[in-house]
Amino acid sequence: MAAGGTVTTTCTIAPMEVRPTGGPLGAEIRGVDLARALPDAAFRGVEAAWYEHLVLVFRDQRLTDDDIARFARRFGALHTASGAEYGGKPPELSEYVELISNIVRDGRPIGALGADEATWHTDMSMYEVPASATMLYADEVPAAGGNTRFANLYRAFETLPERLRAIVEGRRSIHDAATLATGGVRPGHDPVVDKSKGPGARHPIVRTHPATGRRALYLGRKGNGYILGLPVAESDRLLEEVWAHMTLPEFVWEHEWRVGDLVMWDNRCVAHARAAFDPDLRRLLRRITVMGEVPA
Amino acid sequence: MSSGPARKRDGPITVVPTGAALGAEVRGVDLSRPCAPDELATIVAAWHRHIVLLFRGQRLDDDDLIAFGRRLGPLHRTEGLTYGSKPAGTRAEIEIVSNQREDGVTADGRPADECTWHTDMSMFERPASASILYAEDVPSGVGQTRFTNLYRAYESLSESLRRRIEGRRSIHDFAYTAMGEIRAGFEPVTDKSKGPGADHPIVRTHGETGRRALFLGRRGYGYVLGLPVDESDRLLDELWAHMTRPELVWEHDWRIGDVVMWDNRCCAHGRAAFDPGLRRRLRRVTVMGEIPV
Repeated sequence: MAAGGTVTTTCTIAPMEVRPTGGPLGAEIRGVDLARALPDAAFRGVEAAWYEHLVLVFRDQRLTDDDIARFARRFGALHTASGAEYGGKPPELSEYVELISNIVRDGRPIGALGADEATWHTDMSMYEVPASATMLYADEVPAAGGNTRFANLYRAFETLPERLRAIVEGRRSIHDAATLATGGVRPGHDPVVDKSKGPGARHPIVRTHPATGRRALYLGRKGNGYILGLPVAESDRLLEEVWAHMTLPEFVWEHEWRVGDLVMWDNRCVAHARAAFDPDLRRLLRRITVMGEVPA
Repeated sequence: MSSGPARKRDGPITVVPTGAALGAEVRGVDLSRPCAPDELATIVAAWHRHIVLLFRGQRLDDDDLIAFGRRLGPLHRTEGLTYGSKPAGTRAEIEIVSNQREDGVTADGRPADECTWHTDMSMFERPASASILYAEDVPSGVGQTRFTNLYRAYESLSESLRRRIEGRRSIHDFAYTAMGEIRAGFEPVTDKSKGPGADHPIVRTHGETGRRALFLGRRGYGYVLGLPVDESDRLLDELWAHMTRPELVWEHDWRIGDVVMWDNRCCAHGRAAFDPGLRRRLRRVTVMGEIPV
């Protein structure tokens, strides 16, 4: 009985536990029920863990839209979500919730991204005030496929070869607003013919995280974007090199989804991507993004 | 006696344009407190539109000024740039603009002289985007700061001047201050074409707004690469004369507690001389902008 036995306690509230993934980023938080308002002390613990691990996973949650929004608001104001990129979202959703799904109802997709590959990107970076946190909650996920990969962009910056660092430091890039992460053209936009004149916010390529003070690489979407002031071909070449560095296996950790997972990540120091998955399997996640700040 | 609710310290942010070529006053912001992200976004949007923003009635210590500046980007460290010294203990990011001995002004310094038209930190590879200047102790009615809108200056260039500068770069002299004094550690420049300082494109594209603006260092200094020096001087004179035409200029009359934040990527500024017997002291941070392109 002694070996491997469990310790019984009389404590009714489990203490919060932070379990790092062992990868270059990511940690699981245990002992937190996000369906209930988080006491300040617990929130501060979550926040500190988030700054340290960049991506947090909360397993076995049962959350309404309001639960996710209540938690997300602790981190800042919320973006409103229109669902415009897939023809408008179902009307019953709250204004902040976006669906990430391949489900088609009455001939119309109910959410974004479908079952396609979503290339490496950061959320909402085509706006002047991009997202800080993204919260993604899994209602339905296939047994296999559709994992989300995350890359630690602090480390990517810290290990950037000197030659590339000298070029990107002090420069801005356009975060293309016309192209979706799946490669299609965003409704309301024309395909970009000249990247140097494309639509989208112009952010510094190296940004300083306002809370941690650490510097990270910051780009919009792999395959898009433009480094201001360079000939387009040279900008393309450099961006390809920087993206290749940013997504080296040693900076990447992959999350395998389970129903009830809430994953939150920090777009100010993390890029993410998703492989294509079997379109016959249903996948449905709810997303809320928090407005960050003007990147500096 | 009002029985209504207590008046809030800060109402919604309002932006009141000066009506001139640039400049707006921002009301409803207390810069000594960290502003919320959406407030900052409002301020930045107004700044992009109006180039110079004025916040009245502020009370800031150096930490507040630095914290606000950092929201816009990394700050320049300014040890020794202007007077060769500052009071011991002053933080590296703070520049003191003063005519007072206690602030490190040397006996032969002339800090109340005219400050010729210039942009801040442009002798560096990464010049300033924002300069944020806080009036700690200023006389009113003298020592006004003038600003000129360099988007409009570019847009209203004559076709022939535009052709003469197209694709050209200029050296932004490092050796002299805007007061015309030689900086500590520099020799007088005998050949402008070989002077110290970064070279930048004369027409630059603003990194955030994407608009094009004229960009020169200091009136009376600088050098257009690739031209004989006398031809460069003539061209720069012509450009500065155009850039500082009255219809492009707005002048700010300082009051204690003013914070003025301007965008060196699309405006130049200057200051008239004032009575050196008057006490005038401001504190400044500058934000590192992008490499001009």
